[in-house]
Parts: sequence; structure tokens; C-alpha cells
Amino acid sequence: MNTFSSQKNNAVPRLRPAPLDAVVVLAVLVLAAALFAAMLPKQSGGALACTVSRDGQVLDTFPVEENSPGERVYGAYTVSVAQDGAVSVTAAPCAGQDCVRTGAVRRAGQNIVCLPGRFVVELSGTDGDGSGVDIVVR
Amino acid sequence: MKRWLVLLLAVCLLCGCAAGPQEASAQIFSMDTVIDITVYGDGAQDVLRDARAELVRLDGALSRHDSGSALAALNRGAGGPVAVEEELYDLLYAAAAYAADTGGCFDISVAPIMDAWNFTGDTPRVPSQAELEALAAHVGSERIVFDGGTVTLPEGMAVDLGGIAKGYASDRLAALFAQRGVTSAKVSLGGNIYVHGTKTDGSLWRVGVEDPNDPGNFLGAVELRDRFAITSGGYQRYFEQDGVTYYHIVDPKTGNVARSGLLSATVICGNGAMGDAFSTALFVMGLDAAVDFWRTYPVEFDMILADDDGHVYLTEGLRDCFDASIAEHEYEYIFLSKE
Ligand SMILES: [Zn+2]
Repeated sequence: MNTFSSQKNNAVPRLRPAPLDAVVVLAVLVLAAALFAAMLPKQSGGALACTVSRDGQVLDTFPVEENSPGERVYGAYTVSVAQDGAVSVTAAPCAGQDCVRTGAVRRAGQNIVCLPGRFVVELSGTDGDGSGVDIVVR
Repeated sequence: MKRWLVLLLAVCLLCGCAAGPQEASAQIFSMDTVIDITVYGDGAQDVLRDARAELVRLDGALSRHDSGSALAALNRGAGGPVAVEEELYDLLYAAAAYAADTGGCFDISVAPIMDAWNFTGDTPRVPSQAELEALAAHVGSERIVFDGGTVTLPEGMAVDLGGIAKGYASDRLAALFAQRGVTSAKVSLGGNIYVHGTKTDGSLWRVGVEDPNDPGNFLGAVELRDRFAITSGGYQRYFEQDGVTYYHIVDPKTGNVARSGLLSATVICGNGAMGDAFSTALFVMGLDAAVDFWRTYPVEFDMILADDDGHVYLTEGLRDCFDASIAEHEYEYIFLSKE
């Protein structure tokens, strides 16, 4: 045995995997899979959430569902959800009533704004048909 | 020992991945509209704070109805030269240039006519033709005199930057994001859009273009980065009187509500102030004049025009980034080329 080969034997690490290596690889894979699953968009079949805010402060957030019509009152404002899940402002204290005349919104990204009252009703979430827009130009 | 270090490292990487990038968003009431800003990445909160401060500053400087603003002072001084700071001077100059470029279809001196209609007030009304003609005589940005630092409005003229200020504000926010190294942000100034960089996953922003026939739906979506998208459409604000609908966009040349056959005009370009001015101008021009304008204007921009007969016209630059599949209603999509 010469000096050169003995040095070489010491420098090169053992390449055969040990059982514990397999455990580490498996653990990383399982963890990655779990996180990936957790990060996937929720397949909630077009679930929409409605956020009601005043002056930039959120007053309320509620899920919007079909077949559960109702009215929610925030001071002088009334936000109504119709049978088909359409959301509208049906009463407001502002003089112009722009927010009431805006009519109903149905999709993520849409909103109803009452500028004088700084009152905003906004839909968000995965929308039913997967239009998947990030922002709306209007 | 090493293998446990590898495991630890992997866990840290995966957790960092799951936590996602920093994000800060705010809803701000300013510039006569509601503004939504979302900034992603390190320092997002600081950038957002500075963006808010910039919007408040612009609102104060550019509002006509705030009697303390530089713009209000300019209007009060109509008939003589008024010293104006550089930013306002440049914006007024740009607005006057856009008026000249568009044959007066966009004009900041339409303000007194808009006041007569009072679209944004509680009691909009239809002014008489005699009243509109008298007011229209004072419209015409070409008569504004710019003299290196002073601006002279002719007697009887008043200017309002409402048709360009939001676009300009988005330009300022774009500059702020660039200066601060932001790689992902989106802004909506009452529906005027600016998308900065890409989404945090590196993909393009998907901008939905609202359907003027059915604001609950879309004409389609455009995939963009570093672009401004601005729509003018009568459908956004109107009132009815004696069975006639009056939309809020006025032809500055006549003072009458623009009835050009277009329901909406969307401009997509690299300059917010220009996009803001042009979306109004294209709406007033109508299809044929708008297409001619697009073909001959020296600065590149894209546009989407929806007419009242089920057609959607798009410029060729949008061919590869427009997705009509999300439209709920059926439209005939027609791509326009430069020839
Ligand atoms: Zn209102």
C-alpha cells in the first residue's frame, strides 16, 4: 500500500447509502408532500367571501352562499344577499345613492363603493368558473 | 451527524416556502376614489406607508375642490399668469399636449361643463343647449399659455385634473416601487390599474376587463407585467331624466354627453397619465377615429374597445395575452392591425 492510495481512501467518503439516510430522505419527502397539499388552493367549489369595511377598517367578513338569502345591517347601510348569491347594498345614508344603484356583484374582485360614506363591500375568494383574475380594470 | 443537518436544512427551506413572501395591503380613500394597494416582498410595509403618503400629497396638490390646492389657486388666477411648481406645471403641460394630440377629445378645461352637469353631485341635471354652448366657448387647452414656470389660463377657463390625476398617481407609485426595488405589487385607483413586476410565483398578473354590458362579468382577461390598464365607460356613472340615460363622459367640444357607439374604451400602456387621458379620448372619438388615432400615434399603446353591437376590438399587441374564455356573454372579438 503506497501513501498516495491510502490518502485517497481517506479523502473519498463512503458512497453506499446507510439505512438512516433513507429515513432522512423519506422524512423530507413526506414533509414536502404535506406542505404542498396544505398550500394548494382550496377546492371549495366557487366559495366567495364578502368583506364589509368602513374607512379601510374591516367591519365584517362572511361567506356568500347560494340559497341562503339575507340582510346584514351596518349602521345606516344594509347589505343584502339574494337567493342566487348576488350581493348588493340595498340601503345607504348617502345623498347620491351611487352604491345602491351599483346593483349586485357576484364575482371575486368585484366591489360596491360608497365614496361619501367610505363604505366598501368586496367579494373575494375562489370564484366558481375559475376566471382567476388578480385585479379588475373598470 | 451530517444527515440530520440535511434534514434540518430541508425543513427550514420548506417552512420558508410555506410561509410565503411578506405582503402588505391597504385601502385608502383619496383622490375622490377608493384606492387598493398590495405590495409583496421585504419591506412591503414601509413601501406601502410611503405610497399612502404620496397619494395624500397628490390629493392635496391636484384637487380642484380643495381651496388650498395649487390647482385651485391657478383657477382663481385665470386671466393672468400664475406661478406653478414644476410637478403641476409638467402635468398641466402633458394634459394640454394630450388635448392637442386627441383633437380635443380629452381636455382638462372641460371642468365648468362637468360642473353644469353635476354628475358627481347629489342632483345631476341636463343643462340647456344655450348654457352648454356658452360654457364650451371657454374650453380649449390650446389657449393655455405655458411660460417656463408660470401658467396663464384665459379668463373664464377652469381646469380639472380628474381625468388624468389618478393615472399620474399610478405613475408616481410605479416610480416608487421601482426605486425601492419592489418586484411584485398591484394597485387599483378606483378601477385604474397598475401591475408592477410579476406575481410572487413569477407568473404574470391576470387583469380582468369588466364587461360594460354586465359589470358582474368580464370581456376577458389580459396577462400583464409593469403595465397600466385604464377604462373609460359611460356605464360607470350615469343618471336618467325623462327616459333618457346620460352617461358621465362629455365631449369637450360640444359639452354634450358623448354618444359615440362605444360602451367602454380600455387603454393598456406604459404611462398611467397618458392611459388615463387616452381612455377618455378614445371613448369620445368612437371606433373609427380611435382606430385611426391608434394607428398613427407615435407612442405604442394597446386598447380594447367594446361597441354597442356586440363587438370587442383589440389591438394586435394583445393577441397573445388576452383570454376571452372567462367572458360570460358572447362577443365577436376583432383584432386590429396597424395597416
Ligand atoms: Zn352610497
